[in-house]
Amino acid sequence: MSPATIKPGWCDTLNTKKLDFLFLLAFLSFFFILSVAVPARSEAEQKNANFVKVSHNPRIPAGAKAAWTFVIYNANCSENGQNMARFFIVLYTDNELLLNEYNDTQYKTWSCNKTDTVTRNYNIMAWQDMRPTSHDLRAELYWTDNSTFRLEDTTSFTVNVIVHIPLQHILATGYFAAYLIVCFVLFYYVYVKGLDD
Amino acid sequence: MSADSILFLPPDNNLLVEKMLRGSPEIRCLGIFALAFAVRQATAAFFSNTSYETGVGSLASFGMTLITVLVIRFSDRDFREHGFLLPKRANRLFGVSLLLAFVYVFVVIFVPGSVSGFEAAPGIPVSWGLLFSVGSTILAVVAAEVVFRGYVQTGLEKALGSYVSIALVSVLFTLYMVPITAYFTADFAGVLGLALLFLAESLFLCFFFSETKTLMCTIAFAATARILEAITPLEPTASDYTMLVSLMCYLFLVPIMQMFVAEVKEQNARADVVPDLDAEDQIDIDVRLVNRFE
Repeated sequence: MSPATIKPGWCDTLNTKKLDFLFLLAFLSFFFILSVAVPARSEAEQKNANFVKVSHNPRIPAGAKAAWTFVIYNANCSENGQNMARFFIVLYTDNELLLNEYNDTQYKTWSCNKTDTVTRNYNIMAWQDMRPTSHDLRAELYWTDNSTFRLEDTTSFTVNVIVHIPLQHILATGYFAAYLIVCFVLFYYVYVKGLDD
Repeated sequence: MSADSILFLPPDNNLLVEKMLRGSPEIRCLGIFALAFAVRQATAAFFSNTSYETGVGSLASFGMTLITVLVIRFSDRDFREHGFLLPKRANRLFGVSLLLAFVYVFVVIFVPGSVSGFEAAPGIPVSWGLLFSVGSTILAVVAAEVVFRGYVQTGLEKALGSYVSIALVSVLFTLYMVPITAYFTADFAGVLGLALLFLAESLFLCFFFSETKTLMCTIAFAATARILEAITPLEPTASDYTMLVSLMCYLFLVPIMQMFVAEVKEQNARADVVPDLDAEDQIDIDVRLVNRFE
């Protein structure tokens, strides 16, 4: 594009002092965002044990089983002078109990060494929804401190149940029509109306 | 026989390696890429699938944009050359970007979906979380465009020419977008397909930037396409040709984009021509003026 077709941008009208002020402002906002993010992390680090990572498929086909993977870090939990502690997880879906590992399984608890991590895989639930829905899941990590259950950490996430639909379905038809209309309006603006500018 | 002629080097010794060793703009481009690549890989490795993923990603994008703008500020100082400008008829070029983004998402969703069906997810409710995701997507797109199109492409174009720089920037962009750890997962074919898709996207965006010379268009296209893909609760059921349709769509968007941009350029050129009166009109006016004064 030749220079004649370009008009000055906002940066061309700024002098050096104004630019430096903008950079200073940007730097300050960067550190402001950083300071907002840091306390949240330090809170997690103060816990005796916590969820480090949660891996899950946010889109689960209706009827298929969902797989969730939790990575748990034991920062400071130990029992009877040993270098390990025993934990279990309780899962809720839409605030209803889905699995209590302590009550619903034979092994009841699992161990994790102090300052070590453990990866736990769960493959338990299948939603039979007929239409697309979303479910809120919550996982609670309990430490069985000499038979006293202590809630150490909680994590929550949302899973979407997806269903297979043809093009004739009202949802697909609606989006199809909406996209076509927007494309037509934009085409009219940039090609037909735009010529008169 | 000199050493240069033995090695088939150009006589003016205008070598890229030499420039890089002297700390030329090209080495700064590669340095910015290396920094962006390191930040991206570290973010993906340590914060992927954690509650900090979006926040840290936004912070990294913001930081990379800031660093690149600062490098421009203290080295070249020419923001216009790096795409920080509003062209004439910016609203129309913005409209072209939106139209191309809508066409792309429409084709990618509905062409394969009309054959294999759709996977419908629940709609995303309007919430602070959605706004945060949209903001994070825009920040990520701005960072990628400022670094790759604004800085790296502009810098490499001078040394390597238009087409070589576009190819090189697209390869670098693909390396940046796909985390290295993804290549070692079980679904290697899927990751390779994703890498091809990013390569095609980058080629299109590089051509778009090359034609318009403004980051406004590429940012508008990429951000709109990603946000639309994220908020549309329809996806075509995965099939063999889903990826192929996406790749072909980018291929066909290039001439369509060039057609629209050429139209805008032509319109600008027509507007820049000063209207001139021909001789007969001039005489008529003169006669009328004379009659009036008489």
